[in-house]
Amino acid sequence: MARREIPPAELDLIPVLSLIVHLVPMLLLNVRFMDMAAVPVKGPVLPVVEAPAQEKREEQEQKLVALRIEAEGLVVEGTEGDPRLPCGGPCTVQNVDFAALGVLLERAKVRHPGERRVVIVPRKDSSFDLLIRLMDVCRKDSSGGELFPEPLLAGASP
Amino acid sequence: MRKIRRGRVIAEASLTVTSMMDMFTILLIYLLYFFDPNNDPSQDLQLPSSSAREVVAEQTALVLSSEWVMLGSRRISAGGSPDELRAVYEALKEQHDGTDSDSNLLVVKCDKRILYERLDSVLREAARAGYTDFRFVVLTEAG
Repeated sequence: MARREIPPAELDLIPVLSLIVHLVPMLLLNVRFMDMAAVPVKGPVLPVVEAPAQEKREEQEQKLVALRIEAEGLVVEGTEGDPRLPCGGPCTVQNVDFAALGVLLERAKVRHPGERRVVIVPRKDSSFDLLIRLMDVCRKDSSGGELFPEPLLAGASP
Repeated sequence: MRKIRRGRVIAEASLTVTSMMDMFTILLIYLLYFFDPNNDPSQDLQLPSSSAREVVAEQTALVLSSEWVMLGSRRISAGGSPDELRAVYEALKEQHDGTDSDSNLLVVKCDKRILYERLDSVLREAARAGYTDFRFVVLTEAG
């Protein structure tokens, strides 16, 4: 008696492959390789109860650390030594020397060890991208230590 | 499998898709890991990159581009004129008064190309509406 030959079973993967080929472009369109985070910022709050005396106001101003964006450079108020950092042109993300700015801010931290706030005074034409980069530099020093993690935004200087 | 046709043996070509299936499966898992249903590539908004790590609060965000201002998915203003800024104030005031908590925190998604003059004018309206504590949404490396 002749034995019937049973053909080997084969899994038809073509429809599955077709499905995946359609899924890959759809996922590629909705993929995001970046995560979202938040940068906390406060507006400067001034006490309105009583106007401080001139001497007291000057004393308060000396305690503050401020990062001022000027036409062709940055100024770190409250640091030791020369507070100016020229940008070599208009202050944009490309022109600012963030490493040198970090050094100025570290000096300011030495002078104001307990201070966590820094007042950032942008110009009207400063880009938001530049502000975020400056806040990054203000937040941590080169070794990852805390500098001024609480930035305050001041009104735009002309 | 071989077929015999007119005395000639013809080998039947078969496509081996198993290795391709393996490759696609790995690719599929990789893409599913980074899949974000909220990602809308059509939205013309470029967020700045930052090293910040603070988690973004679950709250209706104020979205600011160079051409429009949105509160969540609602477009509330188009430009920077006094009337437009008043519309921003009214929408934010309505949201601030409508929430039960007395939170003064506002999540802001701002295009990185925007100049501070425009951002400042909108933040002033937000401060007038009762928001003084801002969280700027930025992009960080995933992982």
